[in-house]
This record gives sequence, C-alpha cells and structure tokens, in this order.
Amino acid sequence: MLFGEPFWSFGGLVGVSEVDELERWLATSYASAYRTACLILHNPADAEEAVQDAFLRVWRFRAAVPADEGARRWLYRVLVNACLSKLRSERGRRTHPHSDDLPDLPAADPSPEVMAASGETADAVRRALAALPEHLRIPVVLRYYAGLSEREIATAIRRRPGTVKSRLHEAKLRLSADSRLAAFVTPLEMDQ
Amino acid sequence: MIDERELTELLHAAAEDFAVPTDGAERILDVATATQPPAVRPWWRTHRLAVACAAALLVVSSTAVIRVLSDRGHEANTSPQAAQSTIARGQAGPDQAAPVTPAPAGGGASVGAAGSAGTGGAAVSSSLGQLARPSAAPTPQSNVKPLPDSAKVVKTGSVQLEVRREAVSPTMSRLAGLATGLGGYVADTKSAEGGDDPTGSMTLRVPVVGFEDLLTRVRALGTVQSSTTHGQDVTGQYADVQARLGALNATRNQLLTVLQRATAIGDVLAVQDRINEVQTQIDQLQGQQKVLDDQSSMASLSVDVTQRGATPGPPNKPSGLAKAWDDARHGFTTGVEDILAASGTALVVLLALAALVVIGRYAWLAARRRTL
Repeated sequence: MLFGEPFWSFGGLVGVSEVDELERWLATSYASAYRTACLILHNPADAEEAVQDAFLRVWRFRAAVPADEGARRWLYRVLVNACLSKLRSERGRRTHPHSDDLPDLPAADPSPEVMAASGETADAVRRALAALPEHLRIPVVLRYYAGLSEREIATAIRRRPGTVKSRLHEAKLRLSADSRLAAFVTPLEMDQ
Repeated sequence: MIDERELTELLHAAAEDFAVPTDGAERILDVATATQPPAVRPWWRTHRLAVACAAALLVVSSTAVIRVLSDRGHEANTSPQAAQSTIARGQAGPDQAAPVTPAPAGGGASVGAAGSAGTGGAAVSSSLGQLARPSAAPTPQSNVKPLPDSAKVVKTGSVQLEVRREAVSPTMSRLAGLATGLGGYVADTKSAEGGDDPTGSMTLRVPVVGFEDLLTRVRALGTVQSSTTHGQDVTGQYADVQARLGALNATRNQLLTVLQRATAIGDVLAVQDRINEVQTQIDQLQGQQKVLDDQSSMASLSVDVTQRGATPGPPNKPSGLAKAWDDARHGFTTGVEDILAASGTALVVLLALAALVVIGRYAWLAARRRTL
C-alpha cells in the first residue's frame, strides 16, 4: 500500500484527537506523494510546491476527508489538481520543457554501482515519461507508480474509467515504441 | 507492448531516483498548524444538503399550515353568513310575495290624477303601509321570520343537458312540468326540433326555496355537460332603496300637510308640483324594489337541451390499464397542483433558487475543471 496503513479513522469529521493521526498520515504519505509529483512534473522544486499545496489543502479541508481508501483517492485528486496547476502556470511562463532539457536531479543512492545502473534507467524512464503528453503521463504515473486502480484514477482526473483505460493503452503503446526504453524491456514483449 | 510489471518496476526505479526532502512533511505541517489552528468544521457546513432540505421542507410545510389555517378561519367567518343566507332564502318566498303583489304604485297615480289632497293622502298612507311592512315590527305571523328581508340573494344558474335521441321534446315538457310543480313558471323557451339535430333551451323561474330541488331534478333528466350557479347578494341595494323610499315618503307626508294648510292658489299649485316630483321618485324606487323582490324571490335557471350524438361525444371508455394510467397521471397532476397551491410562491421561489444554485455550481466546477 502506497501510504502505509489505511486511513480509516476520518469519517468526515475530524476532532481534536484525530489531528495527530492526520499529521502522521500526511507525514507517511509525503514521500510517495512527492515522487508522484516529480514523475508528473519532472521538476523537484515544482513537485515540492505541488505537494505542499495539496497537503495544505488537505489540512484545510480535513473535515471533508473521506474515510478509509477514500482518503487516498481524495489526496491523489488534490495532488493531481495541484500538479496541473503547476503545469498550467509553467506553460504560462514558457513552453513545456523538452525531454532533453530535464534538470539534473539529485542522486538518491550513494552506492556507485547502484547509482550507475539505476541512474541510467531512471534517466531513460524520466525522459520517456516527459515525452508523453500530460493526459497520458498522469494516468501512467498514477497506475504504475502510485498503484491506483483505473476507477480511482478516473476519480482523480475526473474522467470515466473507459477513458482512463484507453489512455493507459495509448501510453503503453508510446512507451513501447520509445527507443530510450528499448534497452530496459523485453524485446519479445515489445513486439506484441 | 511493454509489460505492466516491467513498467511498474521502471517507474519505481525512476521515482526512487528522486531524493525526498527529509523535512518536507514537517515543514508543511508546521506551516499548516501555524497558519490554521485545528478546528472542527461546523455541522451545518458538513451537512449542507440536509440543512437545505430541512429548511425547504420547513418553509413549505409552514406555508401550507398557514394557508390551511387561514382557509379555516375564512370558512369559520363566512359559514354563519352562508347559513343565515340559506335560512333567509328558505323563508323568503311566501312572505315576499305579499308586499309585491298589491303594488302601491296606484297611490302615486291617484295623487297626481285626482289632485285631491284627501284622496291622495289616503292613497299615500295605504302605500306607506305596504312599503313599511317589511321593516315594520314583526306581526304575530311573521314573528318566527325575522330574516326574510334581511338578506336578498338573486339566484341564477345554467345547465347544459344532453339527452338520448328523440328525447329533446319530452325533456322540454318535463322541464316545464318541473317549474310549475315547484310553484314557478317557464319564463322563456326556444326549441329547434326539426332536422337531425334538435335542440331546445328554456328559462325556468321558481321560488328560491325550490331552486336546489329544481337543479337536482333537471340534472336527473340527462347527462349534464356543464352546470353553473350564481348568487348575487343585493341586500345592500335593497336596503338603500328602502331607506330612500322612507325618506321620500316622509317628505311627501310633510308636503301633504302643507298642502292641506295652503290657502292661496299659487301655494297650492307649487306644493302640488313638488308632491308630484316626490311621487315620481317614489314610483321609480318602488319599481326597483319590486324588481329586486322578484329577482330575489324567484330564482332563474337556464337549461340547454341537446341530443346525444349531436356533438362529438366523450372518448371511448379506456381499458383497465389505460384507465389506471390516466388515474395515476391525473392523481399525480392533482397532487402537484395541490402542493403548489398549498405552498404558494414559496415553493416556486425555492425551486428556482435551487435550480440556480445547481446550475451555478456545475458552471463553476466546469470552469475550474482541469483538463487532461
């Protein structure tokens, strides 16, 4: 599960005793939310701001947080909205960053071997994702990184599950055809 | 196509390449707790829909209750008058015929024609006696009838009757018989019995007490297409005529007294002219009073008789299922009409506001929707 233990205790009303639990849940969810935003935005600074906006919004409207898994869907919906706002404002400032102009990202693992192996993979995946349009990139990230179901993604992006399914299919087709990922996927499956 | 498992692994590898700020969550929570202290959302904001529904229900129900209470109050105020009016009509017939029949108009005529003070005075006093009867102290016979003259209602009605084929003429005969049987008469009749489409119309005048009975019997003669009844209260008009008559009679009595004492020819002629003027006014008012008496004592019912099949008849009786559907539709329509009528404009305003809120909300959401 992405956000650790299920968020079950918020039944639409948050009392003073439940505020601590909300804080713990947000702290636990931060890493996954941040990485999701990074995959969508490809910019750590924008991702951090988007997560902050989303978390502050969750905190502000904590009384409306649904119970159980609904809280997770709700958080991703807010996060997607925050990311879209960032993308929109980014478009307003300049054109969308080309995949070749991705900023240098801080390395996570200090091990040279791991960094050499995973860094190459991560860079290729990030560039392939950046080549996808937003309406395909966001469902792919939510489905294959955040682990949301098609119905949950539909809720998050306010589209029908059928639309989500077709977008995922198109995204996979494009990623399969991306030469940057050719070295990391099975050739047989690429031909399918 | 790329395998989902491989894609998941690739995305996780790419995601783990992003270094998560160690104090990111703490900073956000610090900002959150500093800018906005924990607070419980008001219950009415959490349950906005329920509160809105309860408010709407309260407004509608209170409006309906107020309307029902006001209707009851109106009924309580009007029912005694209606009962009194019914009693008056029920007892007025026999009693009112008396003052009308010996019309006192001859008194005025005798005054003007004879030019004799003594004769005129006798005629006038007789006339006054007739006129004063309705408002005079009740006699032993009229002791139990204090109401007949207190309320004067002109009762009229009309019925459109459809009878079976070849029954127009017999129905007209029965209508005439009904009127005479109830102590009335046929005021007007018109019939066209030739051709394939015979019709007839008749105006019946019966005593007010027999109006309802006449209406019931007329309705039983055929299929009623439409029926209307109308009652006009002329009590005020009648009382006004009576008051003016009383004043004019008093004036005339005084003039007669002056006439008896007059010695000069010029004075006699002047007083006589004045008496003639007053008498003319008295005659006019007595005519009005007579008409009012007649209209309020005799009700009028206009009956139009047509033959079945002469005009497009009602549609065929629907089958069970169609009838049930029609009944359900009619019941639904009637129920909605009752609710709208009971709630008045409040419900309409509420519905309009609710529609505006819904439309505005969806428009706002559509404007803010992030397109992907």
